[in-house]
Amino acid sequence: MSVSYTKAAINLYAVLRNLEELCRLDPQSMFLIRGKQLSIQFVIQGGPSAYLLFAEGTCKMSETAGVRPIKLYFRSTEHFNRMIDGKATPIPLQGFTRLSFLTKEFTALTKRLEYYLKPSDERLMEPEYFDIHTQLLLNTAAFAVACIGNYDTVGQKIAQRIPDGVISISIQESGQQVFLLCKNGVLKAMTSTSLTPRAYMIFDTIQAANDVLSEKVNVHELIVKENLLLKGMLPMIQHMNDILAKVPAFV
Amino acid sequence: METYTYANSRKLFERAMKVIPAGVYGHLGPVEGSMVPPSAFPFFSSHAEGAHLWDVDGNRFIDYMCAYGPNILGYRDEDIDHAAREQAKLSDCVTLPSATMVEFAEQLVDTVDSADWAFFAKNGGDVTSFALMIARAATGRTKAVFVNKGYHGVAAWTKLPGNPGIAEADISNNLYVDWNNYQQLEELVSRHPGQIACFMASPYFQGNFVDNELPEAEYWSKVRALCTKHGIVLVIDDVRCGFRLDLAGSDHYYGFKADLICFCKALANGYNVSALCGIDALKSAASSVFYTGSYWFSAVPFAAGIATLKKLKEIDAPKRLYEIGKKLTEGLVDVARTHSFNLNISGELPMWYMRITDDESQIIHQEWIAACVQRGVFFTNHHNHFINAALTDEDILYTLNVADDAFKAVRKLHPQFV
Repeated sequence: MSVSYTKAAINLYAVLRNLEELCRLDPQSMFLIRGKQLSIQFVIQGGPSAYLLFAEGTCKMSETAGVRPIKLYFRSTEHFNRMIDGKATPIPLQGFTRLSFLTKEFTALTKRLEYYLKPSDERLMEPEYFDIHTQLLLNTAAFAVACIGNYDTVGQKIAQRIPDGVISISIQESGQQVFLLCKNGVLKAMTSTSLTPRAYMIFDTIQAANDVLSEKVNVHELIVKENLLLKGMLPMIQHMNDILAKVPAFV
Repeated sequence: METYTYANSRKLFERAMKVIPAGVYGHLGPVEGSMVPPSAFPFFSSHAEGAHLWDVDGNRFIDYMCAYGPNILGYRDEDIDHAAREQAKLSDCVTLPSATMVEFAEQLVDTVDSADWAFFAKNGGDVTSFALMIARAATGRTKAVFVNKGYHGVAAWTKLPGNPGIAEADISNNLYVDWNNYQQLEELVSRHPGQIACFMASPYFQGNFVDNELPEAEYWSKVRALCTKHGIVLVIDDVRCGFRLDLAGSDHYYGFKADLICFCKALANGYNVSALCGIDALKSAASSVFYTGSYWFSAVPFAAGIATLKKLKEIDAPKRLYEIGKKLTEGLVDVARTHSFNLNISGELPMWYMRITDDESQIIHQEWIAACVQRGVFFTNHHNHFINAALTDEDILYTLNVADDAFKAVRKLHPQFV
């Protein structure tokens, strides 16, 4: 797949997917979707696709259609990526009577997402902001790893080397846990699973997780001090980290 | 048993982190998967003798990693150190090489069955790289076949796509087959007629995190015949196994002849020298490649190497290492069984690989290894171990007692295995 395809997949499946968590964690976002019963379909020519379902005060990304859809069309993966960067607008194909949600609440939601994903030094000092920012950062990283492993040419080669099984990535302090299922070189990120992980990557604090994900710290030092505990089938983590190192090139 | 603590190791590591990338880099470092969790392991040694090392906190360990192979006769073996000291009185690194280089090459040619000549460098990776270049020079071909998950050092050509610091061009001529899969190799050769310079492999499969695998019957004889038929240079990377299985080379041990064979680790009992030995037909190609290094003619390691070969022959080292390995591994398996754990031993006994098979995450194995280390037996989590000739029955007994206590500690964490 092209670089643009991989970037579009990350923007959709890793970045926009964060709206799920955001609507659970951020009171302002919760308020924006209160009472809303509709869905947004993302149709990207030659690219990935997904639905965002809004119902019962929650937001969920899905592969299947929801009720009262707004269909947004993008001419190409580049078009979609430009939209994510705020430099292009989508082409609505369906749900014209619900476009006000798109222009008001959904736009406000994406601004909240940007607020949490693009922090300032000042905001990072606020504990509540810092916690949500780190949660979203970890989710973005896990889902982006899956996209790069599935769609990027080199990422696919690395993913082929990951032994089958589930990697658990967690933060002890907050209890947040994300999982990466690896099977025959295909990766799937998840926020819950009934499968027993084969490898564990455990950050002791939110700060430690944030420092690693923001590339502010020497990972070796954290491992030696066991602020980041690795155990189990470590080749799974080592290969995953080779993919993780490629995330900044796409996000 | 009391468990060790490592306050001085940790302090030293803090200092190291400030001035050395990763603090301790590479395979001796605490983050490369062989020290899980790092808190169970010492990071720095203060001294070593025989089969033992002492860390900077004064803890003594029976060392089953043997510096990852070089220690074959025992640390600070008096015979080897004496030979090195005597040479040091004369010269070491000088404008002209010493007679010891010629003598060492003669010794190797007399000892290694497939060797008509010997070339010296410093590390295993120096000679695997040289072997690849010789194969290309001799055949005029560019491609090389390796075994999936095989290890031949850290040069760019040994790496995989996506590894940090690697360009696609570094590895674009590499082809891979699975270990013990002759048919795959045969098909690969037929798909690339006249393009493959060499097939490089270790004598048996020594992967990490997986059981080691010996060659199937006739695997090597079929590979040898295939390489001969297609003009492919057969390179044996004997860096890890060399002199622990057979003083005449591990190809000799498995009943075939390599075209090029790489040695390092056990060659001089810890003095820094590696060697590439080869057949006469490749001598001219070897001469044609300009390949050298500032310290590759040092006389002291050559003297140590000569003394090491002499002593390995005198004590029939492979036989002795096998017997020690057998006694130790049988004991470990037995201790594991008494605690209802299954410890699987694989590979050759002088370099055995072990793995507790009761959970597929290998976390129980990691916990047991950590408990052994904290009680004075230096194992690593997921690498083959090494036997040295200085190990005594007393060391083995101590090891088994530690293993027993470590299993008790692990069993407490996992009562379902009681």
